[in-house]
Formats: sequence, structure tokens, C-alpha cells
Amino acid sequence: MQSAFFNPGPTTTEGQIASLHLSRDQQLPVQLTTVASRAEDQGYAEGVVTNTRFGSFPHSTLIDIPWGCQVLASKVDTGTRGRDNFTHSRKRKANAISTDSPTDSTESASLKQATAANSGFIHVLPPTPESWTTSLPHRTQVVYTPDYSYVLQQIRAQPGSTLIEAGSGSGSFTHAAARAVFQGAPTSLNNASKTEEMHTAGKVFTFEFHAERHEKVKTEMEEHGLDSIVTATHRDVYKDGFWLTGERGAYQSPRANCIFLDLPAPWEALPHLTRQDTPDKPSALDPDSTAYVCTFSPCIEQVQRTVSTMRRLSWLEIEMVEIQHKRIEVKREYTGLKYEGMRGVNPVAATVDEALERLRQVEENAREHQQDTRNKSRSKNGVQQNNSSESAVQKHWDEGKLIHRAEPELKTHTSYLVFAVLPREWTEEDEATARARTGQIDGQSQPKTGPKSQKQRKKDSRIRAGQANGNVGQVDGGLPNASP
Amino acid sequence: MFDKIQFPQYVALRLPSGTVKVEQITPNTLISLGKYGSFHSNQIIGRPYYLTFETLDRAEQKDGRDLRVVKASEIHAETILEEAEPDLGEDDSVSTPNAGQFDEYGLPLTTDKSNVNIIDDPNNQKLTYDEIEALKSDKMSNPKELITKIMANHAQLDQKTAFSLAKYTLRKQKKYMKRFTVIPLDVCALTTFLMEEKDFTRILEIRNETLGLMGSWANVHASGPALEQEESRCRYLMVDDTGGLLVAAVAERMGILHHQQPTQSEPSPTHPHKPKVEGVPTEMQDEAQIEAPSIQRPRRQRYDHTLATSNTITLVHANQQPNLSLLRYFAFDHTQPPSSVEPNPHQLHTHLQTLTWLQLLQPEADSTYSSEPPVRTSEELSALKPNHRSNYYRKRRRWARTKQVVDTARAGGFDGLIVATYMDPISVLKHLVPLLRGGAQVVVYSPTIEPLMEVCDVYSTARRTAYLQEMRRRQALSLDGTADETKETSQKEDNTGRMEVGDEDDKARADETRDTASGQELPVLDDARFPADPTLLLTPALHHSYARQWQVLPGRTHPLMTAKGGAEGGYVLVSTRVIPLQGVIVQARGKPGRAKKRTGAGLDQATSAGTPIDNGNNDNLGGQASKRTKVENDTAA
Repeated sequence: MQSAFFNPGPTTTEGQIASLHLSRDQQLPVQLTTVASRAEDQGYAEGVVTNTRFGSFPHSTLIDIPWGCQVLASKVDTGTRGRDNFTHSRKRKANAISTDSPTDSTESASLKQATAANSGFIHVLPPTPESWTTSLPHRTQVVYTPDYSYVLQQIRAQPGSTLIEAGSGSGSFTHAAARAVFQGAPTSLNNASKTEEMHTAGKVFTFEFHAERHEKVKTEMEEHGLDSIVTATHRDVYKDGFWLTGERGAYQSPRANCIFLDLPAPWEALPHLTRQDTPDKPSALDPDSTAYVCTFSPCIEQVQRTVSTMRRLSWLEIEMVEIQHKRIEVKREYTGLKYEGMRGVNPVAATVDEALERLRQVEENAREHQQDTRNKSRSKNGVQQNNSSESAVQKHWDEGKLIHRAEPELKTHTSYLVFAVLPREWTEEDEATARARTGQIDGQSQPKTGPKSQKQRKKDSRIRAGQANGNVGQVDGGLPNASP
Repeated sequence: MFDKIQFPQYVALRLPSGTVKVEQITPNTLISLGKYGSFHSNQIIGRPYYLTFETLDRAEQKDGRDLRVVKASEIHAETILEEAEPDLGEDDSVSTPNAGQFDEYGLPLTTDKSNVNIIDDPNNQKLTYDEIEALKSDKMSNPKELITKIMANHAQLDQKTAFSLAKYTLRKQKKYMKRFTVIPLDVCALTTFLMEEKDFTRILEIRNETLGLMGSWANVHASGPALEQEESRCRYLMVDDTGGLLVAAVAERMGILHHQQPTQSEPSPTHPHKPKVEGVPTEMQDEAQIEAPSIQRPRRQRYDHTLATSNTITLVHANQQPNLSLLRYFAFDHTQPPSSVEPNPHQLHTHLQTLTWLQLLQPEADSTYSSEPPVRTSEELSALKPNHRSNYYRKRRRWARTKQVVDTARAGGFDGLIVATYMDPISVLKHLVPLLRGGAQVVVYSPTIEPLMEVCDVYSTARRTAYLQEMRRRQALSLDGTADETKETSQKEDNTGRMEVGDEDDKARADETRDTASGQELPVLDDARFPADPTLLLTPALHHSYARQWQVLPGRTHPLMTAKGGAEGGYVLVSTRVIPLQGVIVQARGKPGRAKKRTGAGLDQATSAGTPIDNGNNDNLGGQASKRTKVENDTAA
């Protein structure tokens, strides 16, 4: 089965990873299963249950439904379970509505049928690198979507590319990179052809020197069905470079053409990425294609040192950019006296006219007040008429002014991105062979240069028709003349 | 694909001045670079990309070589030298903080040399214009020498600070060095080229960072080779007014843009992309059978016109023909179906499928779709003149292709929607969002924010809630009918404000919907306040991304001083197609006006009926709304 990241299929199925969409900034990655294998999943009458702030969702309600479906929370007894030495997520208890006879259903062998609760709903979405990035467990600084989308584009990570990532970190970039280079699913490969297939199918080699982080990335890749594309290696790349250990411990080249270095000192890793082959260590780069590198460093000093090293190591097209990204919030802004008393509005006059009217009314009221002191509560009553609950906002959803502004917390700086290119090795011998070959072109007739225009085609066919001299059978695609 | 420079590829040539020229490489041609000279195309064919070449002087030419590869060490020579010696030649000529020298307070020492004495005097340069021209036209001299001479003759060169000296040198190099760098013309390079050299508005001012962002958010990726018994996947629906640039960017991510030139060793495959797929319209197979009898001698295998069913782009366009002119840079011409003998046609011929809005929305009104060319028998065919026969086949093929494209597009189930258009995005989304499968990503680009703000508003949480309330209200009306007149009136009183305005209309419409409401699907409200069904998308997010370029040089690192303005990256709207809960529509019971209680009652009813209903008030999509839900939950508990 292919990874749900690449081909989720029409419906959610057992064992797939799904992204539960709670709100725009809150997504919960969940491994869909009805069998409670982990300790924290035990004890529910409904089988495995995911608890969110919008209620409890037994996985039986999440499996075998079309992707993207809205699912209502179910009434799940989390209280009984909490007494059995469970320490986690008890604060969610408030969301669950206690059922009348929980003990009976727990004892029954079959899973309890889930019943809908009114605590809220979620949407079950197929996992994407983007949803994973917003919801992943943070182990290190995360490379976010605006950065990785640009990086992957600039280092030309395309289907079939071979990509090196160091270090793996939280795995955000790893997921996006796997999607970018994904070309096929070399799942049913025997070991003999594996090395051959490795270079054609699109691969990611991710290196991490932190043992625990490495293990987590490795496990994640297996859980997400990406392990056929991503090879996670535990390695200090400063010291040991990017080689793979082939048979009998021999160094094997990953033959990379895209490199992403999210390391504190990229300049220490760069010397391992040259075109030079040594007798025991082949170059880690693909000799037949251009190598593109990107380093990701938060400080300008790191950038300067990296760039300086790149120049010495003959990298070209060195460029440095920083990605400035912001998310924009669009909402309706309500200004006017008629919204007075509602939440999230500007309860001031919307126009000068409205202000005048209000002032005149106040004046009038004051005059009346002077005239008749008993009439105290009139102005208050006026306000109270407008004073209503939130449903008033819903009543006015079509009014107000449409405005936009940046999100309240901006990520003003993530990291500097340094890009560089290392062309293929080009020697004098190569030049001589190329010259010999282009010499042959000289003798040939002009080859076909891409698609021809309609006009050109008509002209050609006219010429051909003329050459054929009445033998129309040869015109248009060489259809043979049926009648002799 | 870009392992070496090949013909007939297009390449980008970057000149010392920084300008980029796009040229198609054809053998045996002289490519002119204006004042930077010219070179023979054969001198670069077969060489790797990203090499910098220098045109050689006549004195240096030998064996017919007029180009020299400039080594990376040579390109970086000056900077590396500068780094090694921060003092740059003279002892204290740097006006900037100097790493080596500090004053008595430990602060970096600045020198007294500054631009205070530099006078802008045209007589600084002692060489006259004619002398420089003479030097330039002297074919035996080398541009480097020329620059050295010009600089040596500058009166105030020693007065210059490191900054101005560097700038001066760079300016002279840009002017006189006869160098160029060959860059592969992929989507990145083409976008940069169009941005900097061409009419940027023609591609809606879309930039590389935006294209990358859109591709990622739209979750565009390759489908991989087709496996048996699998439904189609990686089908993307697009609307593109950038002349095909966005299509190219998406196709590149799907691995179907760059045309693979067959190597000479492998036999040319007739359909290398995908084997024939099940479910091909029978017309195509019929056609093959009809053809069979007429074949009397072995002939070249025909190009397989079978359309791909996975890894495809379906483009909806507003004109009769799509504007995909930029795809010519990738050796694809959509107006030109591959000839039947083309051994290796471009993959986009089968993977890029285009149809007009008319074909999508009212296919019967489209003549290509609705008028099938009559099928002829093999006897009739063999009696025809060959060109008539090929005409017949062409028409049949065209019709079959159109029919297949239109039918599959209308069947929907697309995995993503990517839009960049001048048209109103709401009208586009209204028609295309229903064609997406659940969980599909929707990405809309606009150079200005206003159209996207309106989309955000149409799919906002508040409007969705209002929509559901309106829907429920009408449903209640249609279910209760006139039997419960009193209830209806109480409802109306409850729905204060503007809802009362169209009372008569509402009633009429409610009557209309009564018949359709008995089915599973809710009717889409015919209401100007709901231009599109807001329940089909999650609350959209708006993104803006901008790549700021920096200069990194020893002691002179800073952001570039100028950049292209305008849309500055534009705006990208991202959302996800979802499937709202449908089925039994619950009557609005309970106390009207108390939303909380009503939904509670509704839920219970729904549960007993076995089908849950949508809950408008518990909308947990927007941040604010979710907080509200939380409050409600807490109070309920």
C-alpha cells in the first residue's frame, strides 16, 4: 500500500495516518486503528478514541469514510477510564458527556457503537507535509512551509531527484522533500535491483547526529509509509560525510543532486560535497547532473562563513535570500452605534452624521431630563435595545467593512537561505569529445527543432506534396494508399 | 534532463551586465550577444550547464575554439583575495569597520579616507572616448587588460574607498568582459527571466517563491507509475491566465514537463508514459478496429492518443483556445497534436487536458462535444481518398478526445484546484470546488489582495453559519409546509432584520426546494448572499511570501538596494475541500432564537434517526469561533 501522503485512496482505511482538522492552526495527526495496541489507548468501550477539545472521536467513526468528511464527536466515557491509573488528558473530561451505563458496555466483548455528542466536530483530512508541519512534535527548530517550498523549488527537487538532508531535525523538511522527489513506489524490489532502482525512483537521504532524533525520524518514516523513499542515517556529517555504507562496509555514493543543509556549521559539511573521487570514497554527488545546495542558517555570520567556503570549493551562482512570509487575516470590522453592546466591534459613530445625531440626541435627552427629571431611564433603554448577545454578530454577518491585517504574531525571521550550484565536472578530455561530437552535427542536416507552427506545417506538406508529384499516398503521416 | 546543453532546448544566457537572454539552441548557428560578442552554438552543445564561457580573442583562438570555460576559481578570484587580505592592497584604505584594527576604546578603526575628497569630474578618466574605442576594437587585446588600462588611467583611483573601488571595478567588468553563463531554462529560470526582462504583468506578476508556495499548499506531486486496479489519482484542476507558466510549474512538480529525449541506445517507445488504461471510451477501440482492415503492409506504429487518467492536469479556459504560449519553452505546443509517426511525443499531449467553461458547464451547447462525426464503415473508408480518410480519423479523434476530457472533468473527483486568473475567483470556485474530492487542496493566486478577501468572506465561518441556519429554516419550512403556519410566522419573527426583506421570495423558493429536499443532497441556495456553497471549503487562509535578496561579500553584506515592486509576490489563498454532513434535515425545534438548545434538540433527533446533522453553531474552524465553542461546551458541562 502506498503512503497516505501520496495516495490516500478514496476512503480512510485502517492503519493510515490521518490529519484531524480542529481549526486552521490546529491539526492532529492520528494513526487510524480500531485495535488498541498502545497502553494509552486501552480502556475505552469504543476501542481507540482520540480526545480533542471538541469532544471524543472513536476511531470506528473515522475509518471507512470518504476523506474530508465532517465527523461529529461521540459520547465517550473517559471518566471511568481515568480512574484506572491514567494520568493523561483528564482535563478533557469536561468535554465528554457521561453515559448512563458505562460499565456494562466496557464488559461486552464487541466494541460499543458510538453515539453522537453535541460537543463539536472535526474534519478528517488526508495527511500532507503541510498539515504535518503544523502539527508535528517539535524536536528542533522547524522548517516551515514558506521556507521549504522555496528551498525545494530552488534546489530543483523534482520527481526522480536524489536529495540529501542534514540534519533531519523534526522531520518537517523530510516529508516535503519526500513528496517532491517521489516518482514511484519501489516497494516490491528485491535487494539485487535495489541499488539500481535507488537512483531512478527519487530518494531522500536524511542524516542526523542526534541518536534520539534519528530514531524518531526513522520510526515516523515507517509509520507514514515513506521509508521506501527516505533513508534515515545516524551520522555526524561534519566528520563522516554523506556516504552510504554499501556491501562489506565499502563507501557508496548516494549520487545526490539536491542538498539541503540545516546545520549549525554548513562549512564543515561542504568539504564532503565535492566532485573529487578518492580511491575508496566516491563523490557523494551525481557525476551526471548539476548539484544544487541550500543551507539554512539563522545568523549572518554563519552565512558569511558558508559563502566563503562555497567560493573556495568552486560553488557557483551563490545567492542568499530570506523568505518573508506572513499570513493575513480577513474579517469584517463593525463600526457604528448600532453595534453598541456587541463584542469585537468599535462602538463609536461610523460617520460624522451619526456622531451628530447621537450628540443631538444626547443634547435633547439632557434638555428633557432638565424638563422632566423623572424620565431617567430613557437613554439607558435605548442602549439596551441594541444590547444583545453574540447571536447579534451573526445577525450582522453581512454588514461591516471587509478588512485585512497581518496575523498577530509574525515570524519576522526564520533563517537565511544560501543557494549555490556545482556544475558537472568538465575536463579538457570531455571538451575534446564534445568537440568531436559537435563536429558530427556540422555534417548533418538541420534536426527537428521542437514543434512546428501550423503555418510551417502547411508549408512543409505543400513542399512534400510537390516532391511526391501526385503521389498523394505519402502525404499526412504516411498513410498507405489502400487501392493500388 | 538538464545534464548537458542539448538542442533544441531553450537556454538562458546570463551576460556580465546581469541581463538574461533566452535562446533556442540549434546547431550551426551564430548566437549574438550584442556588445558582448557572439559565439557558435556548436561550441556549447553537449557541455554542462552553469559553465561560464568567455569569448576568446583572435590571438587566443586555436583549433576552431572561440570559447573558453572560465573556472570557478577565476570567477571568485577577487573575492577570495579580498577575504584573505582585508586591507585590500593599500594599508588603510577601508572606510568600513576593519577586522584587524581597533582604536583605543576597542572599537573598530575607521580610516580618515572617505569620499569627502572625491569630486565627480569627467576629466578623471585620462583616456579619451576615442582611445577606449580603439582599445575595444583591437581584437588582439583582452577585455581584462582594457579594464586594467582604464582603471590605471583614472586620476582619483587611489582616493576611492574599498566600496567605491569595488563598485567601480564591477561596473567596468560588466561593461567590457565578454562572458556569458548558460543556465538551464526550467520554470525557475523562466519565471525570473519573465520577471526581470519581460512584461511581468503578463504572468500576473507571479514569482518563484509564490509558485513554490502554491505547489506545496496544493500538494502537487507525481502519482508514480500506475499500479493495477487502482483508481486514478494526482489529477489537478487548473485555471491559468499566466500564459501557461502556472501549468508549467505544476507539471514540473508532477514530473511531466521536461521532455525526455530518448537516448540512442534504447528503442523509441510509442507510448512511454503509460500503458493503455481500462475504461477508455469504446470509440477509440472501435476506431482501431476500423483501421485494421485497411492496413495492407506493415506501417509505423501510430501515436497512442489514449489520454492519461492519472498524473493529469485539466485546464479550464475562458477562450476557445487556452493560452499556453509559454509552454513552447518546454518543447510543447498544444495547438499541434503530435503527428502519428512522432516516436516520442511530449507527455503533456496526453497528460494536459483542456476544456472551455462552456464545455464544462453546458457541454450540449458546445459543437465539438455535442456533434459526433458519423461513424463510417471500413468499406466506405477504403473508398475514400487518403487525405479524406485521415481527415475523418482526425475529426473522430478530436471528438473522442473532447468527449473523454469533458466527461471525466464533469465527473469530478479531482485531487486539487490551482487557480491564477483575472476572473472573479468566487465565480471560479463556485463551479470548480464541487468537482474536487474531499480533502483536496484549493489554492488561488492573485496579485492583489482584494479578490481573495472577498473569497475569504464568502467562505467565512459567519457566512457558513448563516447559510446553515438559512438552510435549516427553509428545510423546516418545506417539511412542515403550510400545515404549521403559526410556527412559520414565529420563525420569521425570529429571523429578524434582512431575512424578512425577501419574505415572499423565500416562501416561493422554499416551495421550490421542497421536492428536491427529499433527496440526500441539499439544494444550493439561490441567494445572492451566498454566491458559493460555504460549507464545501474550510475557512481559507491567506498567505503572502516574499524572497528578499541579499548581497554577501566580505565586509559588504546587506540586502540588495533595489528590487522589483508591484505585487511583491502577491497573495495565495489556501483552503481544503470538505464534505459536510448531510442527510436528514432536522426541523428547527425548541425555543427559536436560542441556538444552543436548538442544536442540542436537533442532535438528539438526528442520532435517533441514525444520521447526524451539521451543527452550525459549533463551528470550530476559525480561531474565534472555536473559542466560542469552548465556552459553550464549558457552560454546557
